[in-house]
Amino acid sequence: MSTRGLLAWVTFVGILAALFLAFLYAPPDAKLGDTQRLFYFHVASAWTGLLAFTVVCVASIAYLRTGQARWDRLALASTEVGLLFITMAVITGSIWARFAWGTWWEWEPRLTSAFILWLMYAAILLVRNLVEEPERRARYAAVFGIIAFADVPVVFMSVRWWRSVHPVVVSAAGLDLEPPMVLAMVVAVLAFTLLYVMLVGERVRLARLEQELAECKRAWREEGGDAR
Amino acid sequence: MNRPRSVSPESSRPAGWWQQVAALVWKELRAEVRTRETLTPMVVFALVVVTVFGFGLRATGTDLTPVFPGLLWISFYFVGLLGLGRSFSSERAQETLAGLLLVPADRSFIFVGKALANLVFLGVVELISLPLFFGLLGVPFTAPVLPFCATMLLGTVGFASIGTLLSALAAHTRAAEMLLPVLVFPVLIPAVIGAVETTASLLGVGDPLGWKRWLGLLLAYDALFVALPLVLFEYLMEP
Repeated sequence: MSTRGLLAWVTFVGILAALFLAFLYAPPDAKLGDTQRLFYFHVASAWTGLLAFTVVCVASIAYLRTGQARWDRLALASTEVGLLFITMAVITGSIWARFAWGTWWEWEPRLTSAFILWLMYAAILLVRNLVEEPERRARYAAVFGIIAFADVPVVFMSVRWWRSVHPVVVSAAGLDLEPPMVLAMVVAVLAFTLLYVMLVGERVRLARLEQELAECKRAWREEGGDAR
Repeated sequence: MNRPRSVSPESSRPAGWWQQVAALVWKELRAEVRTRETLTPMVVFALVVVTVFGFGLRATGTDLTPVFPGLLWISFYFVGLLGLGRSFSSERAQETLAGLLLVPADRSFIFVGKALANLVFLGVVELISLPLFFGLLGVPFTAPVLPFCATMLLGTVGFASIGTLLSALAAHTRAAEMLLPVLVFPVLIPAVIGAVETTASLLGVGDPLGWKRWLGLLLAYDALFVALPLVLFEYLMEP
């Protein structure tokens, strides 16, 4: 079996295991009941989103230093997939907040910084759409990718001093969870990370094919063909 | 080889980096004095904004003091955006950016010169419109002067720096003037928070002793977003 196929199967099994643990194995929360089960997917997608944006930053720096197109493809793939996961984290968080806090949205540190993150990475995709030349597009996206990532800790710290209603589950004091819940959370995080790796891999492959196709078309046009 | 025949030793020696920065700032200011294309719209827009707030909010008899710091900074950042938008697009329109790029020097001088010019423009607008904001919106000025000036300066420096970088980025895209605010504001959020909180604290609206901490945040933001554009600007200026 190819690595791609193997990864797809492992991810599939991982997601199934995460679903089983989150919905059937872990006990309902004492206060929030079954609503709390959102938590596993919420934490996993938030973690994956942050991982994706870290990859965007690293790939952006690597692109600016080397100028190799493969780093740009990785940055593009990770931006898109990361945006997907952050969107899921914000939506699941909002639904959870509706039940736990009685409101859909609260302008508090965690939510605000997550939403700003979303805005910045959506802006990178805008930049990519609005620059014609591939090489310039890659450079601009890389510059903004680094700026956006530098803003993450600033946003996080700047709002730290506000009162926060967001629960702190993982802290220096350890985990504030029952052992079966910890297992469900860890498996969900691992499964989502695998899903991220798989999706990014596929998106990078697609980007490479798109680039090859564009080059084929250009070569064909230069030979006088009618490429559309 | 089309070299000028006689090159004096002075002119063949590359000018110092600060001299180049100064020359660029001087050029920006002179161009502005001649055309008044940037500062005039900025000042007029600031007056429009304060009038709109006056009519829109004061007219209902609301006390604006609690929201005044937010109104002030949001207005200044919106006004500043007008200046940023022009800083590279005017060079592009007249195809003079190529001239700047041909200067045999580290290109960071373009960034620093442009950022300083933007800082001066917004600073002038702030000086003119600050008394009007306090007067027309009916908010008494109770802040200690020196920390207040420091807040104005730090809140504007970070904006001018990151705004100039993103203006250079947006200028080469389609729909530059639409993209710029979308790029600038999310990155600016920490500066907005820091500037608003410091101003609120100094005016006695928020925690009266909190301003030192928030001023620290502004300082950290400025340090990061002055240093980062210095490194990254070069990559935006490649042809």
